[in-house]
Amino acid sequence: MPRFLHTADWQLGLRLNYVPGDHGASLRRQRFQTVERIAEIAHEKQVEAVLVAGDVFDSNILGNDTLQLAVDAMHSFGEIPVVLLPGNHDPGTPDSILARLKKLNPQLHIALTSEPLVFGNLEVHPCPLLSRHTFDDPTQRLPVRGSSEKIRVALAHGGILQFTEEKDTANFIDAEAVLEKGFDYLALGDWHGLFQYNDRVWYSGTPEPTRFKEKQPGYILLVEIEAPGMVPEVNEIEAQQTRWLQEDFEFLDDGDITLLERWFSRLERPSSTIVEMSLKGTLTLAGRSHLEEQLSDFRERLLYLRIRDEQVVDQPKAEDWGTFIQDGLLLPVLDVLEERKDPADEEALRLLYRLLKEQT
Amino acid sequence: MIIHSLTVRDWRGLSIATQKFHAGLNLITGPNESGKSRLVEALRFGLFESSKGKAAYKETLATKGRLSGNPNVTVEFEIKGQHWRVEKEFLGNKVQALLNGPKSFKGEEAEDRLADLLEVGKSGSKQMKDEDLGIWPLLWIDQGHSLDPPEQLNPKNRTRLLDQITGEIGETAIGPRGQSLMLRVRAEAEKYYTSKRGDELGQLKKARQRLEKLEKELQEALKASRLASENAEQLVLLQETATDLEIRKQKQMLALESARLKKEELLDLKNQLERCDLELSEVRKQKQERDDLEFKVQVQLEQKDQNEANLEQQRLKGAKLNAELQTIEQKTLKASETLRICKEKYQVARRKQEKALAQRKANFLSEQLGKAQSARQRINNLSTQLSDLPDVNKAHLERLESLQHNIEVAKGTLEANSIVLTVLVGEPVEMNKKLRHSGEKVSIRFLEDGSFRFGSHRFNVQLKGIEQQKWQTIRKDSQIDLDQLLENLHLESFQQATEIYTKRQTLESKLESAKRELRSFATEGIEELALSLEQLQRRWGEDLEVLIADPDDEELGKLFLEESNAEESLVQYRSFRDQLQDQKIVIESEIASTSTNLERDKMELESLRIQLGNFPEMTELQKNEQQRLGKKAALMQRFSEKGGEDGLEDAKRIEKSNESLQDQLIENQNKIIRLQTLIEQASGQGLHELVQELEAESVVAQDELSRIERQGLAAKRLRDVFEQAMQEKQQRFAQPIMQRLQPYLQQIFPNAEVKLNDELELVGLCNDYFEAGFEDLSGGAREQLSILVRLGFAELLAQTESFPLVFDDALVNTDAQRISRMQRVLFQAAKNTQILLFSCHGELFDELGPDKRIDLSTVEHTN
Repeated sequence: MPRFLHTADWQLGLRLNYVPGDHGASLRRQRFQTVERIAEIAHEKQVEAVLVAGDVFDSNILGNDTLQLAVDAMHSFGEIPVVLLPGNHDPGTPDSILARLKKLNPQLHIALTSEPLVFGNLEVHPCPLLSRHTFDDPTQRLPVRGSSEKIRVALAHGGILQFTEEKDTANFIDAEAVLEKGFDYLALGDWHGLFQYNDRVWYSGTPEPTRFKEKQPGYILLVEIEAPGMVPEVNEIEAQQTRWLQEDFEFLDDGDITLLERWFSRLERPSSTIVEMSLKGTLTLAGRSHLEEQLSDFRERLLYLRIRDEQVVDQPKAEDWGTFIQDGLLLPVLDVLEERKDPADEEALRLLYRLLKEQT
Repeated sequence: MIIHSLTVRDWRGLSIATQKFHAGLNLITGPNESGKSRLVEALRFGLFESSKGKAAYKETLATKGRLSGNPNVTVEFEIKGQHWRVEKEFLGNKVQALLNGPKSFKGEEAEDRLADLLEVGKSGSKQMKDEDLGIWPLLWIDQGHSLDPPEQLNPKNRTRLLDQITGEIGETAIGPRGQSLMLRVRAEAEKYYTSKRGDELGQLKKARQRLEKLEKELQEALKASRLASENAEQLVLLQETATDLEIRKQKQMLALESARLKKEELLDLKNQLERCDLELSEVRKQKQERDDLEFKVQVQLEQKDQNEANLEQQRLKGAKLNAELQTIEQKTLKASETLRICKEKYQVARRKQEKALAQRKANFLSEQLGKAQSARQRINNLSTQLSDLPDVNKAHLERLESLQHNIEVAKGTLEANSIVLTVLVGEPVEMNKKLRHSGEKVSIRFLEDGSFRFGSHRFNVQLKGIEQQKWQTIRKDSQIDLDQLLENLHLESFQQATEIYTKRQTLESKLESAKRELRSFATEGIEELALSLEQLQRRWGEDLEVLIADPDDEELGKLFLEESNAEESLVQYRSFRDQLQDQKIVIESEIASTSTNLERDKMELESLRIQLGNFPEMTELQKNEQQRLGKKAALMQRFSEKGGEDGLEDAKRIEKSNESLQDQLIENQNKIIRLQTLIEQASGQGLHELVQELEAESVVAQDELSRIERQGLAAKRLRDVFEQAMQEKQQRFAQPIMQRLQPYLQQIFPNAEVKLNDELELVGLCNDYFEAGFEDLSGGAREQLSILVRLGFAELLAQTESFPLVFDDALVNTDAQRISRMQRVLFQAAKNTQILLFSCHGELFDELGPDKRIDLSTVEHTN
């Protein structure tokens, strides 16, 4: 029974612009390791081919060092045929990076034309994007089945009709029309989350997430089709190497900081984990200071930590100021700052607290 | 605290009995050296300095003299209702202090206890400094320090004052921690912004610059990356264009091929047409030529007939002219004879008249010649006479006259000044070679230097006057010039010159007259006259000698008229004859010419007839022309069907656009190559990584800038709030001092306010119109203000415990009027505080109204 891996949107060479320094660089490299992981799965599942539905690279104008990383990573597929389809990020234009890749590894099947590829009983019809801005349905010219008795799979990149959440893809695909032409499966790329349109039409999503707002990223699909016309059996396999978490947390008082610490300490692999955390609630200045120290610690330990703390309100308590409150200068100063008329007052209070702490 | 009394012994030579002070205003006066300063010094030492030790500043306190004891001071005072008495002896071997009050203390314990009571530092062997003296420097003005501002508040002072104010206004003061925090807050703000202009600084500035730099780099990278993508897309378009152009070119090549075939056909037709046109024009030419010849024959025939008619007429005209000519020849011969006869008659009459005229003229000329010759004889005589005389002209005469005049004048002058030497001769003597006789009186006049001989003696006479000399010179020089001129003119004397000049004048006048006469007789000269006469005589010869009568003019005129008439007739006949002869020549030439023409016409006509015989007949020529026209029409029809001239242009046009298409293809290909090269170059450069890297760095830099900016703004805000709070606090804290100070201030400086800084220190004075720093005030104002501020502080302190004010010569720079006002202020202030006012000018404080007055010049000295 023919089986193949359906994946897409590897976006090799992508660098997340909000993750600074070494963590950013390591996330960029992570994507190549994920390719190796996919190769592992391919070997393990003994697939007949690996179909990548576009956006293998994040751009055509990537450097040779990035290209070499890709060559090295794809080396791990060994004899398994890998079909790489140009997407809107790496279209088959004259500067195509996939064409450059092909020169370095001629074994790879770079689908720069719609010429069908046959692997055993599997007939793959690529629908490459040959321009960055295509407004036509790339599947439009797919041939009807005719006399073929093979399992026919169409490989395309773009949004499907009535699927408008991803606004930046103009090349909508009429999935029903593809199926009507006698295709058993339509392997789609572009949408970064795992998505099933119907039994035969799937988006695998990106194997490694790129954003917090992506829905169900991190998977590849193992597709098995017994015979032409049979309903495909599609299995999701998790491939992602990084964990992306979004968490909301509310403080009722300084004591809740301990709960937050506990949450962080329970994370499985912090060095591979990316967290976006929204905080709210009220803290004393001492509490706030302690929180900052803790967050600074977590920031170092996690792959990336994004904190949204606009909703944390500092509520200075008398004990924040200690005996200093007796000095004739502090009370009038606090009276002004605590009115929070100036946008800088909140931060000014924290600074005052820090200066006092440093003084004592 | 109140100081009740002071006793001093052996204090730099001063020992006085116990002086008691009043709890209010005390005035201690005394001239210099009366002990005033030593008294103040003793009070200071008694209260604040330790009796321990013999430091140099204490050694000076000793009184010189063997019997003197150590310096000793006793002060009695009351503090917080308790009476105390302190006695100190300095320069002793150990601590010599006693403090007696509710309890008694000795030695160092007494010193320590006293320091506690007075709230000052514990003094050791070193002299006390202002900062150790607690509140006292504020209350005490030493001699010579009246111009100083109130001492800086030491921490203890400030705390005490602030405590006092805090108690009064119910507000906590800014403590040392507040002050220190304030400094830190300022320092924090100045990490981010300059204090003056608020410009960004340090890490804030760096973060902003970094972000700007990154954003610039990012923009450049984005531009390069966009360009790379655009190039790729452009290349696709160009490749599509290339394909399109290739297809169009193929199509055009086909069109060109067919256009070329058509062109060849059209060119062939065109050649045939041209040949046909040539033939047609040949036939038409023959037709035309034949036509022309026939016309010429016709013309030639007409011309021949005309010429024959003309010849006939001309011959008739010639015969008529010959007959006329014979008649006029005869008339001319007759007229010529008549004229010859008239001419002869006239010649004879004319000769006769001329001869008469010549006779008269010869007579006249001969008479004139005689007169002229006589005149010339006279001229010759006169000229000879003139040339015999010396040549004296008017200039000579004037010069001679002038010299003669000079001599006369000089002589006259010399004579007028001459001397006469008169000698009466005794014995006969030869005098100037002339013998003089006895009794003879000889006078010798000397007009100039001279000498005379007297016997064998020679006497020289010299006239010495300058005038004389000058005139002598004039006379001599003039005489020499005169003589020279006369000699040149070969004359003897001036008189002779005058005479000769007059004579010459007369002769010249006569000569002129004779010349005029000669000119009137012989205008052209005598020779010419003689020649004219001779010619006349030669011409007429002897005829002249026989006189004849004058001829009749009327006869002569008649003869002349006859001759003229005959001549005129002859001229008329001859002219008419000449005309006829001319006409005859003309008509003969015409006859000859017409005969020649007629001969030529005949020959021409013959030649034309031969030429005409060579051409085909006209009908044949017309038939030929019709055939050619038919052929041409058929060719035109075919040419037009094949596209005509436009068809020929089509090939050219398609060829041209084909070239243009080829150019486009090449240009497109060049662009493709260029873009391919660019893409080749860009690929592998890692533009995308660069953009992403820069984006990441920009995001980080932006976060960093926001963070630092937030901190900076917070620091700035915190500083502003602190400054504001501080200022308000200071204003509130200065208020109680101002309240107390103001009544006194108004008396001395109406409408003014003092300015205190945040350390409660006096910095100056201001009112609505001016503001002056303490140092800028006059000396008088400074010491007055200094006292007033101390009064204010003292009153503020007196809320809990009153302290005495000690002023030693504190108003030395103040004028009498101000001192008078200050006395009122001091009098009022003393109601709340004890004041010890020391002055060496007691007379200035007569209006002070002290509670106690001590005149040191009158106090009892105990040594």
